[in-house]
Amino acid sequence: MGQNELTNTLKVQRAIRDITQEELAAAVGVTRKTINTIENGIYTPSTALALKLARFFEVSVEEIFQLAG
Amino acid sequence: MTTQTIEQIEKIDKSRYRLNLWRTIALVLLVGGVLAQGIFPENGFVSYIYGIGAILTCVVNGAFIALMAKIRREPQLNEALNNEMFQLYTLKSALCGYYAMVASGLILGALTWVEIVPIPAKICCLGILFCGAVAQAIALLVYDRSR
Repeated sequence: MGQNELTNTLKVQRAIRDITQEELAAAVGVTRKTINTIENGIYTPSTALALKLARFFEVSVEEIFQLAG
Repeated sequence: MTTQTIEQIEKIDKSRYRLNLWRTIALVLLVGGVLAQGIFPENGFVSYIYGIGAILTCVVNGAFIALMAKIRREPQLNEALNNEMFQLYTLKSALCGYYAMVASGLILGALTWVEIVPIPAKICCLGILFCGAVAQAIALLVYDRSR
């Protein structure tokens, strides 16, 4: 799981649904720090976590995560 | 998950980080003290460093073990706090420790081999372990810092 391989719209998705990082973290079973590092492109989540996030937001994984460049 | 659990997770995450910081300080004092005693056996001051390190190690590691037991007991806490990112950081910091040990072993070995500095074998071994352990601890603190 490298850095800066993906861009994401996590912050946008959260803003649309008015959800804090803490609430999202609790919903998918991680810490707020993990959500923050994903949003800032520091950490690339596993497939399982990406799918959990997509399921939570009721969108496809590709709508949240895209390959950089 | 309730709001109370969310707050509890964040609070415990911060506590874990603080305890790791103190464990790192205790490790430096303890192992550094042992190393210093080997290099300066006549110096009484280093015994104080070693003593403080030993006491701090016992206290902080006791608190850390209690915190980890609390985390493992509750499934929600365990899932959130020992998540994939923390597991990755734990592995990466262990790798940092390994490379630090190899590097310090090569440096100390080279110094001893060419006899620039006569270093006793005990000091060499302790020095290598010290570099590895401290590198691992500091790496974990850097990876797991608050963002």
